[in-house]
Amino acid sequence: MRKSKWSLLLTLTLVLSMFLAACSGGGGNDGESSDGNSGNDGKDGGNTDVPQVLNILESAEIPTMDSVMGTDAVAFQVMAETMEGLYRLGENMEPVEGMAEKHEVSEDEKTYTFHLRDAQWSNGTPVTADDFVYAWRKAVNPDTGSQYNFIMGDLKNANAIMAGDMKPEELGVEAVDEKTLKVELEQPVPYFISLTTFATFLPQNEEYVEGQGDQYALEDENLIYNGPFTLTDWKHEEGWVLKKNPDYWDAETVKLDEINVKVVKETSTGVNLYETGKIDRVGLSSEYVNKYKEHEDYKTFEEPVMFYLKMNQENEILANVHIRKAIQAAVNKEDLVNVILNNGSLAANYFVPKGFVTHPETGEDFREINGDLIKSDPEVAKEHWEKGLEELGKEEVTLEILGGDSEVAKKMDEYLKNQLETNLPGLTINLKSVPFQQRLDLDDNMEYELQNSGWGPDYADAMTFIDMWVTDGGHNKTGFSNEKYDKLVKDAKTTLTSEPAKRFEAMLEAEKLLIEEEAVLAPLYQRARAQLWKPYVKNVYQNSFGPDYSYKWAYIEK
Amino acid sequence: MKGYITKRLIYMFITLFLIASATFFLMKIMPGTPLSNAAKLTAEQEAIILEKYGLNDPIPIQYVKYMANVVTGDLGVSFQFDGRGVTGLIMDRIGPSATLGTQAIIFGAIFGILLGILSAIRYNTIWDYLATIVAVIGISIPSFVFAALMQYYIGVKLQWFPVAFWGGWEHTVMPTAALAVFVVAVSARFTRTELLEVLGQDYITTARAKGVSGFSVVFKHGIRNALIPLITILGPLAIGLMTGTLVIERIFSVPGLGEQFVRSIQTNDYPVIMGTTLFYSFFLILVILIVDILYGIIDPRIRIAGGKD
Repeated sequence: MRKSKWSLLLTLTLVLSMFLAACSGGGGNDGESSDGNSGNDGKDGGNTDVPQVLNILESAEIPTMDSVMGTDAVAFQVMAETMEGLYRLGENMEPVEGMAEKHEVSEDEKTYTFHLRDAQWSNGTPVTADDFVYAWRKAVNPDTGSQYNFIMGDLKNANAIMAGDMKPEELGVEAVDEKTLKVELEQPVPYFISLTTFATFLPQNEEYVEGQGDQYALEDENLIYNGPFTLTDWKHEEGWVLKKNPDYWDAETVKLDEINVKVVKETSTGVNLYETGKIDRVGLSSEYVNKYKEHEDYKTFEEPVMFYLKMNQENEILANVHIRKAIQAAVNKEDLVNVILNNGSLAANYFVPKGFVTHPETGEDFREINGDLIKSDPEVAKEHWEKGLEELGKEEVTLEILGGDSEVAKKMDEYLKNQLETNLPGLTINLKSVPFQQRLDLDDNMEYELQNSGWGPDYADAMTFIDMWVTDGGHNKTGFSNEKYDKLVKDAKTTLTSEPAKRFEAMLEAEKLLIEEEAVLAPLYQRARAQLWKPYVKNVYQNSFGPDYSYKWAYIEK
Repeated sequence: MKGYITKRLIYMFITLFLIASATFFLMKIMPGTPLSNAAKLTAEQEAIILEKYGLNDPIPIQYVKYMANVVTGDLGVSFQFDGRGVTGLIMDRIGPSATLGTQAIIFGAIFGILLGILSAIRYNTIWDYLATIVAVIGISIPSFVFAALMQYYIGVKLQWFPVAFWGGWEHTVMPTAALAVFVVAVSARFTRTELLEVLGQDYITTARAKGVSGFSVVFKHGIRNALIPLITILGPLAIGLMTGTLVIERIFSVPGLGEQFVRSIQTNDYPVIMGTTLFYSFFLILVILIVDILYGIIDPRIRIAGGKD
């Protein structure tokens, strides 16, 4: 009995070793044959039409496909490709026709009437005005738990509904008939059309969604699509495939047949895949930039995402404007972006990012008009510093920088400490690194002195950067309160809405007040993404808000 | 034996209950919210959403509600993956992790044991030294280093195996090998030490004196006794490997449980943290129990509660 068990184990061992030997042998063969295949692909590509297939990576699984629940880049990207709202982001982030063919705006600019085209969902049901009404009401309904519904705050009654004081049915959106959608706003919103491209504003078909119940959007077959692509083969945490949607109203414009998306979380893995030709694009972290900086596929794209030191004015030292100006001027930001970040990020002496919005009349970039509002200069820094210390009656001060706990964040904070202590005599900096979620808590409670913080836009208007600093603004949390600033923001949101140029100028003035005069923040840098792109991928538009890319017009040309 | 197993099963549920309670309260001490868009929400907006998920309730009430659900088998719904049930999430992700872990343990143990036997019977020769070097390297160098090296040299340069992703068996080769290195090293060392000790025992000398061949002595009499301690460590090691290994899964983009577990902690995804912890603990305790029972079967000297039966 015992003997037989023992010999069984031995036999098993033997069989398994043979299996392993077979495996490694097979592996070798497989490698050879796949090499052969890729060679053939290349030849075929040269002679006949190139397969219109794009292979890319995402850094995470799709957290949700329910459009009103989306909060992150991955979800926004897939939603933008598979669904379509009233308008869609086109080249240079211009809103282009989507489900709406055209729209009219009322005299007081508070009522928009959208005329929908004949389009259908992938199950054959027509897309109607009711689909928008249903989805938007669902988004503002507090029972839904949407975390991005504040983006709808300009719709009539939206804020009251989200707070639970009114019913979702009272939202300012109405289906006049099947193809006409009437939207009422609380006040005129000059960028409303660009807002309608945002995921939260996508339509959902009530009958279908309710029919799916709590299974809705959990798998690719529990969804219907009205965008250029449909989601198929969604394997959680592994990847998914976007297939051209033949029923899309503008299907003839769409050239890509397939976008294969795989989830890869390690940059090194992505780079290795790019090197073996398995993928057409890879994002680079700073440690890879040196290796690929001279590579012909290397590209950078400046994102409108700003990083800065927040200064808590409830702290008696930071309440002094000279101290704040000294901190603004004391850091050499060129070295910060070139050495520590090293990914094309821009040293920032401003708060509204470059390449984000333009003057409504002249078309000049916001940044070109306002230019640099401060400059890095140890002399200037020292001057302000001494003045500030004198006013405070102190010679030595200690401040703490609250920052993130990633490697880059820590390195950056070390650098800031070094710069500030070197250029501001008598200053001691302590560093505190905490996880992101905890930093948000500390920020909410204003339990910080200096904070390395960041902000990205929610819609294509400078207001997304400007209005957060009004007195007691939900994200202000610096203690900054300035009547003139509040008035500029209020005017831009109310009286100036029908005068785009004046409104734009009010925001230019607000930015100057914020950075140059009041030194509320010490801007550090504007983030860029460094990437490798295979040269045969054409016409992928990069966006600075909403989905990161637009693939509707993309194609492969070898 | 039956009584012993029943007793152990009761202890198992008590242990699970204590683990669940401790994890729950520790988890609630973690700063931050499970909301994915907390950076953009104002405190008031956040409060409205937390209310919806019952996260504004006092923690003891949340605890009672959660435990009541667990008893009925309901592990709740994930926060980071809107609407997805925790049980489903774990079941989806455990497949790849278990495949890699099982393969790593099987191949690792086999090679390790063979290597250990080689060192023991060729004691103090060049073979022994080589095997020792392999074992020391395997123990001291972390698996992700092997993973990264293999990915670059075997995946990118030689292109023998796919660089990453999950699919056919060829995708499992490199992650399995990376995970198995440690298992090889540990089992080789254990086997060597134990086998040397066993081979020095009187009954082995007796066997040799009787004229039993060298092969028979080692494989028939030696190994069986030498492998007992190995079972003790291989059990928990197997669970560790099968329930997912964060770094290897990240490097090879394997959709496994380890990555998922760590991210649920980073994002304060309370139901997933709890569910995965319970799942992991359950298997660990179960395997320890099985190992204890196996002990008695393999080695009559350690037959537990034998007296009572």
